[in-house]
Amino acid sequence: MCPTNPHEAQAAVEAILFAASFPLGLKDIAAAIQVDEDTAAKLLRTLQDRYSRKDSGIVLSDVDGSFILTSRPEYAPYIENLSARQRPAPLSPASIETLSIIAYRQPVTRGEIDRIRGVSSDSSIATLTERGLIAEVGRRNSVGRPVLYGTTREFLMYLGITSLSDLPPLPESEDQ
Amino acid sequence: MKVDTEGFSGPLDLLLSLIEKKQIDICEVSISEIADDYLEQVSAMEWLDIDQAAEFLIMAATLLYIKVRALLPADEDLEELAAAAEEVPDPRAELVVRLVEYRRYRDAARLLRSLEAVGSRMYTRPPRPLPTPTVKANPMEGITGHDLLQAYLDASSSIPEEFPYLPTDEIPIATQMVAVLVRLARRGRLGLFEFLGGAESRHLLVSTVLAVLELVRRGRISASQPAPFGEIWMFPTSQATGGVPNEPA
Repeated sequence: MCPTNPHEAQAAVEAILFAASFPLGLKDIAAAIQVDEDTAAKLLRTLQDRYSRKDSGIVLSDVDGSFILTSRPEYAPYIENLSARQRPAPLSPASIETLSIIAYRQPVTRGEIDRIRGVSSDSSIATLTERGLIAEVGRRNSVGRPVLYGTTREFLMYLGITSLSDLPPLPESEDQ
Repeated sequence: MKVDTEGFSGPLDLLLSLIEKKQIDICEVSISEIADDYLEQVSAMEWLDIDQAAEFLIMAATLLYIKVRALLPADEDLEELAAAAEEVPDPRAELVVRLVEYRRYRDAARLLRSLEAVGSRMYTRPPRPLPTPTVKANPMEGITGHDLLQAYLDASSSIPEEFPYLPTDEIPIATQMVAVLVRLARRGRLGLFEFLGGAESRHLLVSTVLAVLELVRRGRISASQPAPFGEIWMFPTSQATGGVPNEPA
């Protein structure tokens, strides 16, 4: 089945984004509604414009080229009032510190993280891995072939950003 | 497990916060002065994690070392000698470099914290699996009641109606295993029902079936049934060319 007119195509994009609760790539969206990727991109832009109006409780987020419908951050408290949802526990100071080193220096080894932090980061790395915010991305070609860590797409979603280039610039070392 | 000691993510975090409390530049800081504050804080901490305690204590030792070095009268000749001898890096300079580097990421973490406050509360629909095409093949597909009846009739007709006497001879399974292998060696393929058709007694039936199962278990033959209730075909496996079996295990 494929949409017969632009309105239907637009509605079809909205429907599949609604039904999928994970980010959908442009290719998947185009394939699902049987249009080329340029057309799919155009439909997504129109939809994104529509959702970016302030009177919508939903936003269409672009996560590294994949698309997902999320609630607008302003309305988070209402969702958290629903008993099923709880406000997510923020990361611990050690975990977010570890995450920031991985985000800005990736790919990075456990040893480099520990050296910068001056403490072992084992439990933070375990927590971040478990939450899907970081993942092993390879091994460094040096003695012991240590595991290299990098951030994931889940990390981008967690911070509500589109790509790593949206990260705030790393603070300069002002003393040097 | 307690991960953060008194809210500090590590010794560098604690040290940096002590320096910042005094509003002095990292490079200008008097380590001797900070060392006392640091030791005071560390000795007031409750230690739940021995590894973490070690990390805070190593820093305490480093600070004390720097303090002691600063207190010792400067003997320039001696210093030069020592430096030339083993190229000892200046522990104070080293610590300052580490603090400066650490501070960049600690501050970056604060920036991520504010993104987290927004991004982590952009909710998606809870993941519920979309319908997936996991159609499992139905082994009974196309089988009707009539087929079941026919299968029953076939099965019951192949059982001899009555036994004139209680058979006392037990047919050893090994004998039947040999019989199956011999027939297979000759024909290459053997239908189980066909083979069982020649059995005169229940005993023979039982030991033949057990013999077939034993041969399959040992990997001497393979058996397949292409259709439900259909013929079960036995084939010799490549290793079945060996000798005849002994008593079943």
